[in-house]
Amino acid sequence: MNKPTVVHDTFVIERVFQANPQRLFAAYADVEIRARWGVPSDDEQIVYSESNFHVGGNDVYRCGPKGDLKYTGHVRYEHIVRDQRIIFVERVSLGDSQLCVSLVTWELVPKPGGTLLVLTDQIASLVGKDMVEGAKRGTSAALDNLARNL
Amino acid sequence: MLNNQPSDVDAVFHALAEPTRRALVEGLSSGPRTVSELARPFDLTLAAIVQHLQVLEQSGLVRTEKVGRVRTCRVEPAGLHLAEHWLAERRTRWERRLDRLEEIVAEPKTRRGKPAKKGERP
Repeated sequence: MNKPTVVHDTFVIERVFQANPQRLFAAYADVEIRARWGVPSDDEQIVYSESNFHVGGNDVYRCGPKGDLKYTGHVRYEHIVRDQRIIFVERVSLGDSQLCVSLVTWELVPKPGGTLLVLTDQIASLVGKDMVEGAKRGTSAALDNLARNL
Repeated sequence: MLNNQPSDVDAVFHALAEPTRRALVEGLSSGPRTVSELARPFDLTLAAIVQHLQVLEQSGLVRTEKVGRVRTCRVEPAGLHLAEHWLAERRTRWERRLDRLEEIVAEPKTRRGKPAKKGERP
């Protein structure tokens, strides 16, 4: 009765910044700065309870609307080349439900007067249609499994 | 209390993160039910069930309709677009975060290192 409960997707965002790679790398590496841009708007907040920016190191954060930081994120750094590249695995959960696991790559390419950031996010989404369809069809097992497999 | 809005990803996650609410959606899988029919298998007050149903309705997963004195519930298929919403939202979030990062790296350096002077690259 259980159907696969994972949907895969990959997207690439390219953006040129008017700053050199060192500046961008530092804006990621410094957790205080990262917490400033790490939410999409001023209505949201991200609070890091752990931050270990080195290969094998883990970040743990909570984020969400201010006053309701319901999402939990776990990041594990897999590859870091100073001023050039950051690769990490990120797991996002809501309560007992694991929402997704992502492999995120930051590539910093120096350009005249700035830096090209190529951000690649390879996502295994665990809450796609299967979660909803599963619940609808009477196989709420999808979520229960997720919770159990955490 | 009809909800014609497209499902909000947050609200859907929130709604489905609770076992009773998942069981309620499950209870609707075979077709529409009245609230009291739905509530029967649960060891909960009707008021508690109604509260859960309200959360489900607000998320867009369930729709309820009152005919006379009887409220009937059914599953709302709009919730099925969740996967697309979620993936699109993740991309949008990155875009907005990079907008903010852009603003921050454009600021003069104040916290760390020497302050940037005009024309000088850090």
